[in-house]
Amino acid sequence: MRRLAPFALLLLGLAAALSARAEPPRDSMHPGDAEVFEWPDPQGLTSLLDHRQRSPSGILYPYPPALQQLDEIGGGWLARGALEAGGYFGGQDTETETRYTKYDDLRDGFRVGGLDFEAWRPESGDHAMLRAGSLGYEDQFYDFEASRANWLRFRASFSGVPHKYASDATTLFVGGGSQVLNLPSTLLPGGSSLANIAEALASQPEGTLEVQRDRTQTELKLRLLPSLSFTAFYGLDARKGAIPQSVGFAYPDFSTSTGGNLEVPAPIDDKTHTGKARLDWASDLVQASLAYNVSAYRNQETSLTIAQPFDDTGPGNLAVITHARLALPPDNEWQNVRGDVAVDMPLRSRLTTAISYSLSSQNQALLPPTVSTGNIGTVNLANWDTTAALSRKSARARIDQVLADVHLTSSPWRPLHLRAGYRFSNQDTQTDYIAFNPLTKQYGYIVEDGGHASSLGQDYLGIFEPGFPGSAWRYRTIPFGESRSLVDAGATLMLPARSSFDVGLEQEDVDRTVSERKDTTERRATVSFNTRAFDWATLRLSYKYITRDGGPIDYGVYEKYTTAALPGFVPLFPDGDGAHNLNQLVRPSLANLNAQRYAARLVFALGSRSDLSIAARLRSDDYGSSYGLTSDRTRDVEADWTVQLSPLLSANVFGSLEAHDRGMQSIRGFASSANGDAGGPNFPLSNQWGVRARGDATGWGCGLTAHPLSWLQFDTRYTFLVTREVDHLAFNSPAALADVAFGQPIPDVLPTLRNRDHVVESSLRLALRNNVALRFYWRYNRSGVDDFHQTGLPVLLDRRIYLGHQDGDYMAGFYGVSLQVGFGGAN
Amino acid sequence: MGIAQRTVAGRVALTLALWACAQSGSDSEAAKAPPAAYVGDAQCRACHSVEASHWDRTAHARAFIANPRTDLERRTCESCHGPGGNHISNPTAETIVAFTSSSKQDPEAMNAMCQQCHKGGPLMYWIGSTHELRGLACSDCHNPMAQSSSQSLLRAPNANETCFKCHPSQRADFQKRSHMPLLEGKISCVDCHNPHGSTTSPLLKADDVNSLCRSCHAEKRGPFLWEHEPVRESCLNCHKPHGSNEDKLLVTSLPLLCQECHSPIDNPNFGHPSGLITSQNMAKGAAPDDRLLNRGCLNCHSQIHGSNNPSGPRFHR
Repeated sequence: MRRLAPFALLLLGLAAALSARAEPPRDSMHPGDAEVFEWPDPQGLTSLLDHRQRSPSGILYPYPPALQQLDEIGGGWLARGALEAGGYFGGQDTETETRYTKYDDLRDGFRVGGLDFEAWRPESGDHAMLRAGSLGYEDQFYDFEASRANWLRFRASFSGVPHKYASDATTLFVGGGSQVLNLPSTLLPGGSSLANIAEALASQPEGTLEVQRDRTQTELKLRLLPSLSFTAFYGLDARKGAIPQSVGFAYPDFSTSTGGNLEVPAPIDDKTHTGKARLDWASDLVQASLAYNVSAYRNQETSLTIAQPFDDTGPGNLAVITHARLALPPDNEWQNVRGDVAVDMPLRSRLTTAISYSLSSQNQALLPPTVSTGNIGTVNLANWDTTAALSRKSARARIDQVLADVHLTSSPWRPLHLRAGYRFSNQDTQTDYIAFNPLTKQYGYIVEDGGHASSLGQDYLGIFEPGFPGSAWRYRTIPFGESRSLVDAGATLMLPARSSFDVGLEQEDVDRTVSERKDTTERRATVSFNTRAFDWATLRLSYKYITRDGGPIDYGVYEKYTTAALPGFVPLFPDGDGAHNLNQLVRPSLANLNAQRYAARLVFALGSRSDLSIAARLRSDDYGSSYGLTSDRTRDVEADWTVQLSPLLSANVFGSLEAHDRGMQSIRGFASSANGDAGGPNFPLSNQWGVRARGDATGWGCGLTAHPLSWLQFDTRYTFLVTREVDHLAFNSPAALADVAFGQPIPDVLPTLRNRDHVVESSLRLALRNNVALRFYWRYNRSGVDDFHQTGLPVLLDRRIYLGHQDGDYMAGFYGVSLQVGFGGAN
Repeated sequence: MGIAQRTVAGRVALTLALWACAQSGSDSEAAKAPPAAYVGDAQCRACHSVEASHWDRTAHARAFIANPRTDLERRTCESCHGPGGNHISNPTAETIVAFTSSSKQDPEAMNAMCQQCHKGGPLMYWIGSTHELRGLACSDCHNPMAQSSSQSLLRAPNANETCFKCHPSQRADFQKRSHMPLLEGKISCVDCHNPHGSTTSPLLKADDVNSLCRSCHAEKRGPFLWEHEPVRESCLNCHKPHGSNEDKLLVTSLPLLCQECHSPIDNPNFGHPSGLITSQNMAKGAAPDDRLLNRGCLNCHSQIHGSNNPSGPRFHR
């Protein structure tokens, strides 16, 4: 009944879900079909031409559907409608695999698969439309529109989006989906043996982890004056369910007696309210918009407290660390005001300007630094298990953003189009939190609710200890922010024979508030050529060259946000504190870059009734840093062949090949000095390692639409995709490895990460009489996946507890028989 | 430069100069041409009855016939195709504004007809947009002559199919292991992109990538007490927008993705060493390692998009 509520609301005209989407929602049962009762028009689009019509780029226009005729229903209104309903059921026993129904609801049973209604009053131009599908199911959708042509449009939509994470999750905890996860009565927080935990897990049933997102949207567009229109929008995204989440207590790899890691169900119960109001002015010379946008996120779940079962014999005594507490996403607000103006000027010139200001803010009440009580060494955690241990009680987080964009285009000479512009954006983080405990007068916090100290001792709890070497903990928020300035200019020359040549230049300067690389400059040059010189082909070629460089790399900039900046700090080593990172490792968005992009798109007219599209791209990024990501290359080529033999018979075949190659280098570091250089004492070259990640994706598919008899229509399509990712490893010595079992073979490649998917989908429609048809639907999915992250993953592995979900293979069919009934004139 | 080369160069220069002169004069030549007369849509329908039967069901028909906003709209067929007088006497695509590949008009001229009414608002940035620079015409994506799609008079049944024709690699992306639910009908290309232009080069419907992503993923918007810089910088540092061979739309496998930026020394205050993960570290391997298992580094750093916990600088809580 609950799931029918949105439908009822729509019928009452009180729907909370009106759509600003240009595209109405769907479900997977109606992939692309616009109408329930839609048959191809045997006349095509015209009776005057003996050849198929193509778009200016040479792409065939699909044959149009023959829409149901409209019948008089009184009051000057014409209307038509259609309903599809029937029984659907699944076939194979592997249909319970999570991935099969990740975004779908394919339960067996009666289903109103589709509902279409359209009404039109020609005299006034009033029009109404309703489309819906999978009524009452998790992926149901409704889309309603009422309009008076040229003056008023009101849209409403509702779309259910299920997102399944696991249908085979095993959880140890009691209270899944709530903010408190307790252990079963047979286990003691902080005091259970692995044997007891295994025994408790064995008795837990498998369950489903999923989140249901219900998206409702409304929009009203009203023309106030011939050149002035007003648009108002309200949207509500409501999510409910649970997702996998993790929590750690020190490193369980280091010892069999300390630390632990838990994968748990985290509750989701949130709403995002979105509002927009916009005025648009559009005259011949001036177009302008003024918009106010707002979004408010509201989360009913503020924290997640988890009982941890593992006992402990380590130096920090994990026995007092019985729980962990996560802060869940806080309520937040985003507001934006934006103005856009475009002015047409002499010499076929046009000036466009945009100014936008956004404010993101969040002021959630903060949690205490830990949920743990008791003592770790001489530290009494009771002094940290209270909001009195905070320097302030709420987040007071805020980011201001400004965008200004001005562009001028001009065509003083008809074949030459010139353009130039400037874009400036600034992001200013105002958050300034200091982790200081007024109760103890100490800086710092409690790492992992004390778990970090369980394996390393009290000095590594996260609290600054003046005089203790290397007691550096991040204790202040870092005001990440940046200013970007982008200058661009370009020219397009219209050439003879329906061709054009374009050149563009850009320079983007980024100035970061706090970063290991404060300034970077990126320069981009683009040339492109388009031609429709040949009646049988359209060709588009483009090339882009990108370079980036910038100032020096300095990981020391973050030090002032750690307790290393406080009086009493003693460096870890005689030459200073330890290096924060390998100096020569620069993250990709900051590193020097030499990049090239090639792209080609061709559309061939093969005969009068088919087209062939071919697209190819090459992307090559070479980063200037010796370590980190060093290169990233992608090549892909796609082809799509469509043939339209008649309005009643068309087919399509497409294929794609993609290959990519990503290289990285790093050095496993050790702590012996402040030196962060490659080849130095902390990062000896003997510890160097590298990975070449190679992957590919091969896909193809085909489709057929046939309407051989006036009472028979057959649609089918098949898609196949196989993807592979292989990580090739290289290292200078075993000292480069993370964890190694000496004496065991060390393969130089990780197992292939692979995915294979086959999907066949067919629909057969038989017209029984005017406005009555029988539809047979069949879908077959076969899929396989291999992921080394999950391979062999048990529910309990040493001091780790997982939900036990692994993406698996499946083979499933889904069948349906439904009756389509229409009212309105016959096609 | 040899004589022969100079001759070729001279010919090319002369050709371009003549063409340029011709282009400069095209406006004035057009002005001299006798203007065609409007003939009314009854004349059009007399021959184009099939076209009219489809067009009558479109939003354009509802607007032009019932509620014309301007004198131009009252002309129905001739609102878009221009005066049909010459076409009556010589019914070819050259005597009227046509919008197909057989048209003699260039895309700019075709688009100008649409822009008589469709200007401002979401169309404000068409000029200078990627699609405009690539010479696309409105009628490459739209077919105003038939109601082939439920919205926007698209060429294909929906926006996704329309886009995929020229962007086939994106279709393959949406079939990958992790993907946005586009083929399932839950989102569409135009939820994120404005194909008519924007102030961003990928034609985003927002000021930047992050603002766009957070319009649906508001729980990741923050701002958090403790921010992760690459997250604040761009979601695309770690995620592919359409689909990925990896889980969670990641650009590469964990923990390698994290290790592209992080290489700390082996010290409790700074983190754990960035060693190379091997198959020994898998669940059934000789040395299982959390950084490779299941959620990788996020097994412990689970709040990687930012933490609001006072004890969350390392995104543990």
